Amino acid sequence: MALVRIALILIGFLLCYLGYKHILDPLLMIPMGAGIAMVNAGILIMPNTGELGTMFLDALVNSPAQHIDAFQIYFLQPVYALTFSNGLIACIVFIGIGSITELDFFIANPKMSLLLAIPAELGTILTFPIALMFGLTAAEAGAVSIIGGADGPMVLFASLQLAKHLFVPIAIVAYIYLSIIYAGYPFMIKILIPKHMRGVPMTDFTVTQVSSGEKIAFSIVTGSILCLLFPVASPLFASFFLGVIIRESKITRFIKFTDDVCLSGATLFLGFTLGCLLSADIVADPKMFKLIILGFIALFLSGLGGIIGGLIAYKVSGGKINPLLGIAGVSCIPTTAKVVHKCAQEANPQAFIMPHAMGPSIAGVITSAIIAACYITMIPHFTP
Amino acid sequence: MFKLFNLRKLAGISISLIGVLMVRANPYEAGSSPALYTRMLGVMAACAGIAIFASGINKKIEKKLRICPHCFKKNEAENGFCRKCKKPLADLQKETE
Repeated sequence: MALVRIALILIGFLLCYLGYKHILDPLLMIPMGAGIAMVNAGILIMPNTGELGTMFLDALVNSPAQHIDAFQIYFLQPVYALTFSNGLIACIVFIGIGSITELDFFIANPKMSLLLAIPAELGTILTFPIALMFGLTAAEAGAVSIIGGADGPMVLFASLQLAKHLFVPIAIVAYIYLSIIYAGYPFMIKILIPKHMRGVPMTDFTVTQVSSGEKIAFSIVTGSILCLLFPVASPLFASFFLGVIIRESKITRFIKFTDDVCLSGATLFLGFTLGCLLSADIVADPKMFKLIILGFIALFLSGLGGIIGGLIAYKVSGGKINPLLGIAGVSCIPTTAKVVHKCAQEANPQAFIMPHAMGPSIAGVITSAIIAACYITMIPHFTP
Repeated sequence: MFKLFNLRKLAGISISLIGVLMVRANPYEAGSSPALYTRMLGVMAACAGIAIFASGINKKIEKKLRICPHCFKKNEAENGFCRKCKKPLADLQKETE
């Protein structure tokens, strides 16, 4: 165990460094890396129990009396108990994501956006049977499959609903892989898509104007229908569309609050608390190795599905659609859109695909939320 | 408020609600084996309804734009030359191939 802890301290340093150098997503990797390094360094013999522990948090408390005690001992316990256990932190992040989502890009071409987003869910769908073959239960398989949707808060929420005992390793694997998307997908793109296809410029685009009233009506109707369909996942839908409605209502105080305070604050505490939850005993769990493999498979298959979808769109459009747009459908808004734009510009400095990539990226959030909701709603119902 | 709703949007909402009914008021649920296909069909109907609703949104096409490949300035698509750098905007496809 001591060696595992030393390794984790070094991994924490490494994640911080890679975040600092912007090789991995700094917003998550710096707090997460700091958390991993410090929680594994701060081991002590707890005076109340006589066992090894830390002063950060105890994820295993259950009864109200234990919670009251823990609040007074562990400094991160209130954050964990009041925002992680019930999925609140995922919902706060989703409010923030909603408030930075510009629906115009999606509404400008909803059909193309949705058609590109659906193949990019390949990992979310195919990882489920693969995980069952790895010996996971249906609920555990559903939770780990959501990593293919490349949406951190969704993974957090789904794993809390489906497999609470695996929520920490699944969330950590998901967030580390989501950061690696920055570095991993460009390699995949370069290997699988020829340069002349990557460089399709798509410099023509149509600016559509949709009134705020229309966008608010769309958000309320869509949000209500999705909540009616999947009541278990309704907190996620409600949070996302609340963010969109706040943005479209143009209430600057709320927009500033959701963007600056909610999103930034929740991301900081999310990264740090997840890092602090990664102790040596979680890494030593034999299921962790399976989750690492399955997380990779999920994101790889989603990327592959996105590329296949993009190539089909390229062929069908007679070479007018840049196939990289398919990868943008692997939600992770707006990271994948930025990644594909950068790849297109590397292949052809005249390529400007960012406005086109945002549509599939937004559609990806909606499709992965629907698939996650299907898993959350149906798996407990159809398993004994 | 009623201006926000047209026939296509109402059709979209109706189809979605039928989908919701198929999922929530599943007649087979009372039986011993739950009907997965009815639920999946309901989810698909609801999603199709949302797509139909989205297609009924009144979009006002403002203008078609083209990014200048040389200076990245936005230009109206009909223009042959960039307003800023005066270089040609057309035949980008051929250049890359």
